[in-house]
Amino acid sequence: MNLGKQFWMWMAAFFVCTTITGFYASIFYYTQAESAKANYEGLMRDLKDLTTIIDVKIDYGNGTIVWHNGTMIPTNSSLLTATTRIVKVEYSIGDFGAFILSINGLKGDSNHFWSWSYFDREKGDWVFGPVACDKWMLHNGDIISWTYVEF
Amino acid sequence: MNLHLQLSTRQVSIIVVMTATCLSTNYLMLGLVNVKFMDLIIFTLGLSLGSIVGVVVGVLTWLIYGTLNPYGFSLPILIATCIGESIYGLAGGVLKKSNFYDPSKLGSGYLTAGTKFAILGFLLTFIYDQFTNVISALTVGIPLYMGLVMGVPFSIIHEASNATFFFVGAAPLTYLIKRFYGQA
Repeated sequence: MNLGKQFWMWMAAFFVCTTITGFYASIFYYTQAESAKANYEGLMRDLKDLTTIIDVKIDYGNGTIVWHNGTMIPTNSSLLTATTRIVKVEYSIGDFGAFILSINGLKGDSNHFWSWSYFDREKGDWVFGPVACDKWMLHNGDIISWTYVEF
Repeated sequence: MNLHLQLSTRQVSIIVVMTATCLSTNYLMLGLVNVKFMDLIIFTLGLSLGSIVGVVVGVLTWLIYGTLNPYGFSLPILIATCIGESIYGLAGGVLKKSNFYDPSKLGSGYLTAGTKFAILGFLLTFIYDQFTNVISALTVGIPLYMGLVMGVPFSIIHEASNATFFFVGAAPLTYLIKRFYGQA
């Protein structure tokens, strides 16, 4: 076999090696990705059983409204727990329960306060929160609003 | 059929010494899964002294290493590894007949020879791995595809390490064996 032919034969053999390596790498990373995907999906399934998903609206009263849709909170959480997970909250505990003093630094004063309401799907309207936020337990799909209101 | 295998005293002695070398390096490198000098040694034995010596050392090594193995014993896998290991010796023997490499020219063209050895080492290990993976899958009773996929990480390590060992060690080891044997 002449040198030119030999050279190309070895080059071909080398490329067979690189092809095998590429093939191995693709299989290896594919199986890794599939395994990670399966783990992630399993974890999300487990998490879904342990979490409640809600939508929360924060209305700052100056035209700024921020929605926290699809917020995941532990099952059996109160509105206060959920709110503390979403925004920075200051509150006090009184005889009737928790009272929100400020949300994200925006404090209530003699003319303003933070009130909450929930969206009633049957009525198709917002309903003013009947109890203190730490007494209101949340359920999957609840839509809650915090509004900075004026007296 | 009368199979008459005649080995000289020198051949027997080198078989014994090399089997012991393969075994000791195998046990020494037990923690490094699929990283072994054995394949290189058997290939170079085939290349320097012919297929028979390479195959005998490979089979003898596996008969001991496969039986006294901390990872466990399995007869079908032992047979597969004995046959698989013979590939290295056989390939070395075939290349010896075709005058593939002249060990007396060690030094000149070392890189070229090393690259060729690395390619050969990689491809032979690929054949060995696929063969043993198929047998392992059939033995354990898992689907063939699963067996091949599960073997990928081990195959990568085995083939990469062997390519490296063949690149670095095949030429000098062939030279040393031939010199010891009085042919270089």
